[in-house]
Amino acid sequence: MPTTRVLIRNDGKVVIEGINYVGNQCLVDLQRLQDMLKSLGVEVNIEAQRKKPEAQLATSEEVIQHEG
Amino acid sequence: MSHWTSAKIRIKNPDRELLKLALQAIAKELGVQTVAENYMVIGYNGRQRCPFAIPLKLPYGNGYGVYIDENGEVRVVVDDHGAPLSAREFANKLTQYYTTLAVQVAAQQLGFIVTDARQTPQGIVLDLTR
Repeated sequence: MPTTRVLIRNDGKVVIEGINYVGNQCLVDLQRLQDMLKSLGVEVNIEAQRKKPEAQLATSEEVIQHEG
Repeated sequence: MSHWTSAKIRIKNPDRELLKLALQAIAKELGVQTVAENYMVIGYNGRQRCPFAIPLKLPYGNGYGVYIDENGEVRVVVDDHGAPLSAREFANKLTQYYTTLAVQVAAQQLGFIVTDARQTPQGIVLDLTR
């Protein structure tokens, strides 16, 4: 089940992790959450973003399949 | 595809009800039962009227206050000399609790279910499931 895990750190920063997502839905959900939070007065300024290892693996597999 | 995102947050033009709820959570931790409204926070060398405040006898002040400046940004005021929370700790806690409440409201409005909410040494973790 796709899950967005939000860690609101003690120092006032957030770490957001997408779990069990397929395709780009993870980023779509992140954007929707970001927009909704802004309407509630929370501005989320992304400092760093990276694909998790399983996402990179999935990407590699997709490439192999396309090449095959 | 799954991603890992780290971000800095800033509270601007806050929802007043959420702000009050966040302050109530901090007040509870400090052993204070109520959040005062329209309260004059006084310190050794200053004073500021605040829409919300935690009234608390401090060595050099009368509590922790929150107000919104002309740019819509949340400001905290306290004479924190000898106080249980420094001004920075208070500001960080307020940001953390306000954001937690906002994420819960946003999740509900977007049709997510909050399947887990827990406190960890690093902070507050919320799991939002579609």
